[in-house]
Amino acid sequence: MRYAPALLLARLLRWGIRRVRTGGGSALPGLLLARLAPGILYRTLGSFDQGLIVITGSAGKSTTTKMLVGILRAHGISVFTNPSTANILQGFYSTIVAEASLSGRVQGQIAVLEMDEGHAAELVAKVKPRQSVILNVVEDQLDRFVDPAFVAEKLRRVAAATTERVHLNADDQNLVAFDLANGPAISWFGLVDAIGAAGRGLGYAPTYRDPVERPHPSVEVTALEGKNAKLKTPLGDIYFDLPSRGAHFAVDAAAAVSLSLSLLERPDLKIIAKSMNEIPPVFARGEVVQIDGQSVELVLVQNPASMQLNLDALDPKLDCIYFGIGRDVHDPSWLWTVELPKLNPIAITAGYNANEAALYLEYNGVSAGEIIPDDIPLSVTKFLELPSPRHGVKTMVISADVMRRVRRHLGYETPEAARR
Amino acid sequence: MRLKVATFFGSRLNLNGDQANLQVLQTRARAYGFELEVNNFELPEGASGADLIFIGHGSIAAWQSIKEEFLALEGVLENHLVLAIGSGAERVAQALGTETTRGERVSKFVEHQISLAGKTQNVVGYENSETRGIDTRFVGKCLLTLLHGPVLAKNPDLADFLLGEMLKQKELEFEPKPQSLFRLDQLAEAARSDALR
Repeated sequence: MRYAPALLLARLLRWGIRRVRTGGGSALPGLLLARLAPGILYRTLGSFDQGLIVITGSAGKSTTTKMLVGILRAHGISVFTNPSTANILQGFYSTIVAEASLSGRVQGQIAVLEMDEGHAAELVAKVKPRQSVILNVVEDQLDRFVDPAFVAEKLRRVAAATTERVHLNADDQNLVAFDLANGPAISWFGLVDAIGAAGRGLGYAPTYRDPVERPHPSVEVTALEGKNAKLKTPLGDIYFDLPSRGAHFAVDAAAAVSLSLSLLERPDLKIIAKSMNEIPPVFARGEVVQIDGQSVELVLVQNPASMQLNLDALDPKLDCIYFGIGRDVHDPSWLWTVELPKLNPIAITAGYNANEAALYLEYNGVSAGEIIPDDIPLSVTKFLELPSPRHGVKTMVISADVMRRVRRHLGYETPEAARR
Repeated sequence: MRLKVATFFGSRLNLNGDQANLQVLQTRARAYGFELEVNNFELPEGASGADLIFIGHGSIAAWQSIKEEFLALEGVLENHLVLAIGSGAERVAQALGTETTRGERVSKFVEHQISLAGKTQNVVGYENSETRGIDTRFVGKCLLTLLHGPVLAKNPDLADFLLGEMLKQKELEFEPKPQSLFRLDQLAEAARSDALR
């Protein structure tokens, strides 16, 4: 019970903040707990009977985590997991504030945690995961990570610290080149060539070296049409619908299935397929919501790869688009790596980085429309007041920070809530 | 009138959207009434006839993969108007024998000063580097800047200065700034001011 006073204090702070701000109040209490009782995190994460499972990599962590948690729960396993908005060390403390008993334990037989690629290496130095999945290395958050090679090295350390088995993406040459001598067993997952090569590929950071021979994946996406995916597994083929369209979601599915087959004593492919079919669309990636009687599609852009994929998928005839780039984009330079497809004029460009976003749009020949840099509520109100589009639905292409502010303004209690 | 820019391994040296600087030069050149052609090159011969050589910012892996080609290029840099960005600027500085030191990493928007045609100008952009002694400066005809990404978009005066230098090599001069660039330059001013909040 030595952590009880710190936990109680943090919980009191959380309660106080929630009294004055709906949907807020998770960051500061987590920070307080981290200051008062840093060791609680390692005690909590090391206390699960079936160990700690870590899901990390540059992109796809939330989706893969949701898929794996769904599959394990459908097999009757009690799982502790973290919300995707709390995947850094401070976020884990916030989750503990919300869910731990006064002794620092949280319920669940197994912990399945999505971890930021920067924080994962730090955490596994203190609590070794039983199994882990490393999804990919993409050129993302370079203001923090500087170079993809440094990200690859952090992820390699997570893989090396894993005690039992690591699941690696066979199509990412950064991961295929990992030196894991004397490390854990490796399972590979992937996507057959014909699908992986389509379009602009999956955006993994190029290594510019002669390719290393692709390992043979035990779980592989062998067909993909729209949302329908077919996976080859050692137990036979499995068919299901992905939560959203996109080859990257299929790779996430392969990773989740690979992990689940290795973790479950008696995996049932029918239960896995059913559970995959029931995954709701992930945190507003292509989610259509009803706002004041209007259909609005929310498209999240988080890094060059996701922005390119999402912009390529936009209907060029859309004529009512909101483009919002917020504070989460510390260095907006990366916007300029994304090839802007032909789009109609943007209606509103908003967010902390609105002016840089507008420069990017206009140098690419697309009018940025009205620019509203610092007032998300005003920008959303103006967007909703615009006449209905002649084609498709109103569409908001927004970064995670704008997404959070928009959702808070619209009355969603938490960033991930599906209903207001 | 057609100006030519040769970009060294353009697809590899674009880690932070650095090649967008050429898009900026093209858009502005067109507004001033001339064309700007951009060609990728890998061997020094590919840069012959270019009015400007552009060297972008690349990952460790990218530079590793073009090590020999860059060595071959070093000899021709001094005779050309060059714009080198981020890690490109670091390598060109080294090739030209410019002394640099290393310090704690800076990863933020910063403002550098440079003298352009006798006038001191502020240049705003994002720096993510440990190198000291370059900032944004000319070494001979080479303009080096540690401000990576689309630095010319936010600093149109610098972009126009480079276009002017390219024209001067052909004994030509600029027309006055056309109306079509005013909106872009207003946005640039706003983005510069945002960057330094």
